[in-house]
Amino acid sequence: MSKDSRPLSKSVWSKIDVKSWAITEFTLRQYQTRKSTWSIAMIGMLLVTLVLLFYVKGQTSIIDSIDQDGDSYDWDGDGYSVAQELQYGSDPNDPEDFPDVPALPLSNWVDEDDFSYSMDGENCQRNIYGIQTEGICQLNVDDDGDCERTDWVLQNQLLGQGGKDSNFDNIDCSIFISTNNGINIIPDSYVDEDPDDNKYFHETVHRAFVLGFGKIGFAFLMGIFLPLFLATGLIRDEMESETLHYLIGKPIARGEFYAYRLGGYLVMTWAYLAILVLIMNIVTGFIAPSESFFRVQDIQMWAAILFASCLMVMAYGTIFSTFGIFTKYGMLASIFFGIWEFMMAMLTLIGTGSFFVTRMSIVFWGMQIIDSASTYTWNDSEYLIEQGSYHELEGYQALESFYGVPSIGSSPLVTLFTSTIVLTLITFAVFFIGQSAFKRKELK
Amino acid sequence: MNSKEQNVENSNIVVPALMLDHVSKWYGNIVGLNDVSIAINGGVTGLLGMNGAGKSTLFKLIVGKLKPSQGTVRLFGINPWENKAPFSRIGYVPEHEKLYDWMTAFDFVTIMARLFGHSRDQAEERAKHVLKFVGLDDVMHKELGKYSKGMRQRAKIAQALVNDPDLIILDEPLQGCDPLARTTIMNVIRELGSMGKTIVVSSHILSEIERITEQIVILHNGRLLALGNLHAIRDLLDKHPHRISLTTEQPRELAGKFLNHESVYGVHFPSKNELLIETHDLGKVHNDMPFILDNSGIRVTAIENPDDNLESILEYLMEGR
Repeated sequence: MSKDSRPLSKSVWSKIDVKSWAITEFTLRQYQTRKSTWSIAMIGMLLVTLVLLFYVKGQTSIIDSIDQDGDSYDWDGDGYSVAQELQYGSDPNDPEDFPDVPALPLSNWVDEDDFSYSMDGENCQRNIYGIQTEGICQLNVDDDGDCERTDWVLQNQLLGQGGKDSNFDNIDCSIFISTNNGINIIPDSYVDEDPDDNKYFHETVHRAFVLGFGKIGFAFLMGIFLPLFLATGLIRDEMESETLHYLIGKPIARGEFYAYRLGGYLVMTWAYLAILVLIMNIVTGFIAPSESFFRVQDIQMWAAILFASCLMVMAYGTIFSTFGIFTKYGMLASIFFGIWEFMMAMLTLIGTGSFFVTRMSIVFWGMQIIDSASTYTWNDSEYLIEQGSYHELEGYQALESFYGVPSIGSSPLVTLFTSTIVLTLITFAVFFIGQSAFKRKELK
Repeated sequence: MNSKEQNVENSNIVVPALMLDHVSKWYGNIVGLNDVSIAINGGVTGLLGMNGAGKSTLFKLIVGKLKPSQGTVRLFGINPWENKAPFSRIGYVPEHEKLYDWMTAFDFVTIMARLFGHSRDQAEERAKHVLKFVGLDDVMHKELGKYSKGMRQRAKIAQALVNDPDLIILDEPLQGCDPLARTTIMNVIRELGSMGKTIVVSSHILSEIERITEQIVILHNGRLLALGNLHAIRDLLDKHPHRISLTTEQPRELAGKFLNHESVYGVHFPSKNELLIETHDLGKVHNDMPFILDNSGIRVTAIENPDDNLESILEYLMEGR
């Protein structure tokens, strides 16, 4: 071969596409041959399968509905519910007094007024305390019409002070929602007073599942364990097995080699995460409560979970592989780092953004991305929690545990953007440190 | 690349493939290499030294795995620690036999070729070519983990040759190989030498090096002990008192025949069936030995030169210091 065709002055970064794919492909093939790769992949798949089984069981179970307002009971035993007796002006406590119409099934008055508020109506304006100042902020809230109707004999007695406007927001049969100092929902009497327990349970449990598994399962557990087993030895294993020189004894800068190795790791972990997320999305999409056969709205939520998880395995992978470059005890250092991240994950779940120290972790920023996405996908989660808490409905505590309000920036979009930038910057900073150390490392 | 290096490359001055200028390497308080200066360009050079002499340290400095504590290493005029460019012209065969056992030799060599920037097709062509050159073409699709030691060594050599390097460094390539593999590898090295490559091959066994090269460098305790033509060093050694051991059932009868030889000044009988001849001219005795043995009609089952090894050369060279 002519030596003119490969002058020494030519940068070793040339032919980047050929070399990068060669190392990436080599790294991927190396992963394929390792038992640890298959073990971690199987464990992840098993975890997803088990969790999905619990999810399916939860979603297919039926929650016994409770008649929150008690109007389905037939106190006097005349066959008419309290609601029907009140509607026609008969005495619900007198078996001899009943409406002159056929008795309707008592179950008609169970779950008859579900949560049906509209978050913001026409020209809704609120002051800084979240109190409505102009326009209409809540609409169509009295599903069964027992607040709106005027022909009920005992209506005024039952509604008590304020009549149809018992929450004094100057709107009859409305819900007053205050966002000052957290969410406060104050409905007028006989408004949203008998929600559908089963529907509420399935909706909240679904959201809790997506958020919980997204944050803990994907972002944290997968985010930590995939890099721990797959990235820590990216360079170190080659150094220990003395095979590194085959790869770096070539016209490739060490930093370049390190970047391509990380590239191989990312191709594998991102593909794996994408498959798992896709499985989760498909299974939950068909089973979760939805008006159509597939719950399309969750796709963006799962996409955000995948995005956060990918950023986290990238950040953790770079950190752990850098530990591996610095010391042969890289795995130990990574485990200690993992313990720190676990503590921060718990603090983040407990206090969302209230603990400043959590910002010194990777997991905080990853969870912020998921929280940001959840506020876009399900913008009524906070209301749902508050309503569940008000009526003590089953499922609200699960959602409350995993729901978090994005705490960085002025809006969820800013949080999403900031978190992405932070995780990317951390990755690049650590990569720079790692490649500098690798470049100066003597291979004895 | 700094401007100085660039100037060297661009000028018409012949830059040696390998140059070490007062290179030392310390591992804490331990001296791995001590003030070594050599320049090698073309041909096969044997690097001789006992275990721990500094051969591997020297090679690691050359291939940029270690940074010299003192002095400068230049490959084609460029510092390999700071610039990886010379590696496009270097092939390195490490001492240890670690390989990616899960790969076939073909895949292994192909990947190595691609790391030089060759396309997949080019790399596969090159891999086939070098694997044929080292005699592994019929087993190249077998996993490296299933290879014998000699085959593994040849696979290592193949990966070093895949980019048609100008400088080839082989660290103990014959270690642990069976006689057939040794012969094959030696033939490969000789052929590469005849192709005009610069080859540096290390060993601690003199006879191995002697079969493939004339140019030797001897390292001892990290120092450069000798550098030059092997024959010249052997000639010096041949004038030195030397011993030849013959195994025979009639040592005393045979001793009488050798005592008549002008270069033999003494005989010993270390054991019942062994004759030890002392001489000042090893070459002459070896030349005449077939005639003496033939005329005597005495059967000899083994002939050994206990002093014809690296230890003896080192001992001899050290005496002169």
